[in-house]
Amino acid sequence: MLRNTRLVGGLLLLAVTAYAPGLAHAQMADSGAGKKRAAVCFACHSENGISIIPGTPNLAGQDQTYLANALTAYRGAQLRQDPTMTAMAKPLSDQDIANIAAYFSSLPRDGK
Amino acid sequence: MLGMYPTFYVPYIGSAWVMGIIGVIHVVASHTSVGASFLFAALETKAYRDDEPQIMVFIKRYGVFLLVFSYIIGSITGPGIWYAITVASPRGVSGLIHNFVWVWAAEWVFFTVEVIGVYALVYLIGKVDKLTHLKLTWSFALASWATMLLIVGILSFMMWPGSENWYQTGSTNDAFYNINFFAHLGVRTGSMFVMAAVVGFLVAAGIKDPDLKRSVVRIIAPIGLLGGFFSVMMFFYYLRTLPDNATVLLNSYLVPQYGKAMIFVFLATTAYLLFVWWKPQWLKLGIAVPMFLVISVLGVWPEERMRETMRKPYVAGQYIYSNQVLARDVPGKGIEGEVDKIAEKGLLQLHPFIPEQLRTITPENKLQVGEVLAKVACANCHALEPGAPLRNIPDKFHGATDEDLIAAFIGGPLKHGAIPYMPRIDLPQPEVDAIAAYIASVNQNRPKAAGDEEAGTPTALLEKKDN
Repeated sequence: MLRNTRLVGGLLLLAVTAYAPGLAHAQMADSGAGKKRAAVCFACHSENGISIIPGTPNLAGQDQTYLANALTAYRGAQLRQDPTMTAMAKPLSDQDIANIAAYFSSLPRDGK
Repeated sequence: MLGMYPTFYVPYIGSAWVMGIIGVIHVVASHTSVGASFLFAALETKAYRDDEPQIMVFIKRYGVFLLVFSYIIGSITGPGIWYAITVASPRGVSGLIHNFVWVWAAEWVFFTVEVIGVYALVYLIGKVDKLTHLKLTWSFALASWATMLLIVGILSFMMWPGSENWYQTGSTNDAFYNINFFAHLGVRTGSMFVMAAVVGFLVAAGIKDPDLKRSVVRIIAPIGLLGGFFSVMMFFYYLRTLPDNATVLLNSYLVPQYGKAMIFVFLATTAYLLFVWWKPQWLKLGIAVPMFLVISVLGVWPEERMRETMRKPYVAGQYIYSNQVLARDVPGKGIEGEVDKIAEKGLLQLHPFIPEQLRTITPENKLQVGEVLAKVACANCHALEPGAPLRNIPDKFHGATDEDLIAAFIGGPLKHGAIPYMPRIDLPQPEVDAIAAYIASVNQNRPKAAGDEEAGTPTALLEKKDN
């Protein structure tokens, strides 16, 4: 019985990891580390992910894969070009991107 | 070289708040005196028409109070503002003087008339015939209002000229009669009656004779109420004459922060004026003094702070940034923008007062250079100390300690002017890195919250603050 539970748990973990969106390199996303790394992002997108500057999107509760893809694309500056976001994404590692995507996607959409 | 002015920095509150504090005291004193001059004119006209000489007793009393309170405080804080702004914002002041030198000259002529007028008014009661004195009082009132009218033209130009004309012509008229002028003048004209009524109650509270008290209060209260109503109406007009950056700041920061206080002051003032109008005998110093303090502090501080904040990123005319950099060309004045020049050569080479040993960045002086650059480029609007009240940078970066991302912010959003209320700051990469290293080090060395051992990291601090 115990063995079975472990097996199921292991399979579940495997499944979650495999399906975990945005984690191309299969790192575990750490939203706490993402929050720390994203401190400068809050200047425009706010700590709660609800932007107060016109023309700047809310990120709270945004789809995790989308966030990771967007940051990766900004960083590459091929698929998406934006002077602001390209500059901000340049220093980020894949792990940073996964963490930051995890942080913003975990926030409630109403900002509360 | 940028203008030959040094950079001053007052730790914690910033030079902007020094100016703000002096400015608020000045506004309370000067609006009171201008408003009071019209109250005197109205009261004396009634005294003359209805032959009620006892009203002159009140005018004399208020006049002496005004001499001591308003004119001394107003006359000290007026030059105080000059000193403060010359230090805090030398190029802003320079820009204004080059536009308005004759307007200021005219203002000082009227101010002289006003000061001589208030002495003459107080000391000539009963010594010249009544009609001559009444004419004197009205001249005093009009000269007082003229000082306000002239200064409002300059203050409203600071917000923005409102059209492209001035940049091309450089004409004083285009600068003075800007889109913001009449609305701003209306707001201040209305509110000066409120201030004068509130201070008038302060003086009336001490009147022993109940009939005199009643007749004075019943003239002052409706004037204050009408002034307040007019001021609010003009304020809504004023909001429609603001530039986009001001609207963004209002909606994003200022209304959430100050909206409730403003509504509270409006309701409290209205209730106070109505109540005293209804029950003049209830007016005592114990009510009048606190109400004066509440209305002058809670009413004037947010209003002035909002106006100063909304103007950001500019200090004047949407061509001088608050950090003293010329933001754009003004052909009418032969002025050329400096942002791109700074991007090319760097602040370290162009600013005239960088200490020689800091002009070249080395690993040893990097943090020190970063601090000097932050003072030059940022500190006019942002205190450098964590927790400081003037929009401090360490908190604006949410405690960030990552040098690379701070540098990315300066080299991305700031460089491209992506934030409507921030100046475009485009610096050579070594200068960007020095500022980033400095800000990151300030956040790394943040003082821990008192009595909280767990709050070791900036993130923990922030989380704590948010709960």
